[in-house]
Amino acid sequence: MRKRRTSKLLSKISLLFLLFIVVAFVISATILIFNANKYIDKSVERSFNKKEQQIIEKLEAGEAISFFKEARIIKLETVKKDFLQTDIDTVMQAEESNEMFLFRLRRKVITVNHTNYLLILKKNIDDFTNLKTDVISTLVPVFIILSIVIVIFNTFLSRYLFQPFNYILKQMECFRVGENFSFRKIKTSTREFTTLQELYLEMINQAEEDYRRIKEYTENMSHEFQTPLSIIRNKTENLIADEYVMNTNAKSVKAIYDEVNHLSKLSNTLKLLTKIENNEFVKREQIKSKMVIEDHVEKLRELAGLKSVPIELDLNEDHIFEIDPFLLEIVLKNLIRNAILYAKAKTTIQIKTSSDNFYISNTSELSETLPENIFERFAKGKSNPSSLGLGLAIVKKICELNALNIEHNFQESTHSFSISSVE
Amino acid sequence: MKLLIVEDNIHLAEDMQAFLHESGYVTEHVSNLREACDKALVYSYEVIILDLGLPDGNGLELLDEVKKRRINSGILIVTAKDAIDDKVKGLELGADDYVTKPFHKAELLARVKSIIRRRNFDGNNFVEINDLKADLNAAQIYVNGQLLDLTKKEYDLLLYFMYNKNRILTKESIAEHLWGDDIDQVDSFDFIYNHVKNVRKKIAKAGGQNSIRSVYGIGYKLFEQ
Repeated sequence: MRKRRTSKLLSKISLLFLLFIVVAFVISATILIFNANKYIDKSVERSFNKKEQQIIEKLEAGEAISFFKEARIIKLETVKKDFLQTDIDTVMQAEESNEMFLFRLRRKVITVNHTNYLLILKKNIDDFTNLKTDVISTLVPVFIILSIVIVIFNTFLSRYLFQPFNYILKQMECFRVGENFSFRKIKTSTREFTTLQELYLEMINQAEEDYRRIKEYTENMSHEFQTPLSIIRNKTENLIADEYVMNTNAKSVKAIYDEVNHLSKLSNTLKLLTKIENNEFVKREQIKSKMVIEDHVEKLRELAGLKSVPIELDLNEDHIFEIDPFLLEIVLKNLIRNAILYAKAKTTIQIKTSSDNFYISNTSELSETLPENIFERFAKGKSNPSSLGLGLAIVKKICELNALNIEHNFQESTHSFSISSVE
Repeated sequence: MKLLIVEDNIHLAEDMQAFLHESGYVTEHVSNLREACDKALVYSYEVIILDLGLPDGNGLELLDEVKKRRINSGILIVTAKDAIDDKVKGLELGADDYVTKPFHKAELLARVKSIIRRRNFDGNNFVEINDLKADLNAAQIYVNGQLLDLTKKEYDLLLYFMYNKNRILTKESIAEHLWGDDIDQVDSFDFIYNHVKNVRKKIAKAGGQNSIRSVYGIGYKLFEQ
């Protein structure tokens, strides 16, 4: 599964906050503009009405049309019936200066003393619209300043307020079960963090306690098993030495003996596997593999010779394993023995190393253990029922824990394993 | 030649005593560290078979004491299989050898004999059975005075038989002796069969008699005539 991209809580919060502010700003700006429009309309309306009223009064008093400064008045002979009034906003030159301003023009028909007049009123609304743009042009810088403030505040938050949280996270990262981890408490007055810290401490203690118990249990099991198993084995050996018993009960005695041996090996091996899983072999060293491999092969050459499977070596001086020496021994022993055991008689076992890869192969007729489960516990070949089926599981586990990658290949009746370090 | 067995499990101890007695050794048994110290420091033993996991302490303490006081006893430590640290520490402290639990009695006997042999530098180091004669110092075995051309493992195998004459050696015990008992042991029984076959052939070729008998399904036995 691909890992989902993650981002910091604070960045998320500030991003959301900014988004929220944008929305709030847009809404408030809309409301502002809407209200401004309403205000303009209202105030223009009031001014128009006032002028209209004055004009009507003057007309009624019989003043001549040419005296009216506020508006143009045209006497009409005929009037379209449905014509009432129109408002237009337009840019015009102001009378008192040469500048262009936004004006609202109103054309309206009025009737005074049975005479119809077309009334054209105008009002400078430039200031009002300027107000509108002013509002918007204020909001944008305010928003920018606010964003900057938030970012600065964030850094402050993460550096000071969130510092205990980050510290706790770091401590959590360092925690490994069974490594006697000591958690250094941090003093903080933030309740969430103190709670987090306390809960985390409790969890650590619980995990350590559980781990210790399981470890103790496995150790006791394996250890305490060995003595009774020893006794059973010795007593069985006594029976084996007893001719009378063997004449009558050889099969049963043999079965007991075999199973006791199996059980004893099983318990030891499982315990070893648990120890490996618990990371108890931590003496990681850079080991030049050439000598070690040669040494192991030398020890097993005679064994291989019995089956006429010569071991061919092609070793690189510079190949290095970074691993606990004890674990390397287990890996090599298992793989080489495995190869000898399953090799077809009179074929060659090859062990090669390059600067970054270890490779071992043997020819085999068997392939009933499928490559997919070859590393699983108890995935042993049918041809070899007495094997424990744990060797490769151990090898795999060791590789996993030491950043090594092991691959199995079965091709043209050749089994091969190669180990390289994980990049 | 007296041996001291330090082992807290009474069954195991009795078994070891009986077995070693059969092989001609006089043994004494103690079941805790305190008694073991008392005895080891007062009497003289050829070999002390020392279990490390004792009820009142770790056997390594006794080992330390014995070495400090320059007491001249061989020490064979018995450890649990996984206690690698103990094993290493034991050998560093001067133990002569170790066996891991559970061990085959034949293996124990072979180790005890080998410790005794190593401590006896100046004496003649020969084991003789029938027409076979092993020269332990030279790591060679003769049949009727004729040197057998044995490989390392064949020598180990034949010597193991000679140490355990007249006793059935199970295939498991032989496998452990020859290749050590490690995790997930290779099914080595075919290999044992081949080794024994080769050893028999070499003895026959040198004109010796075949005194190794198969015990069907169990293992092999070297008869003393």
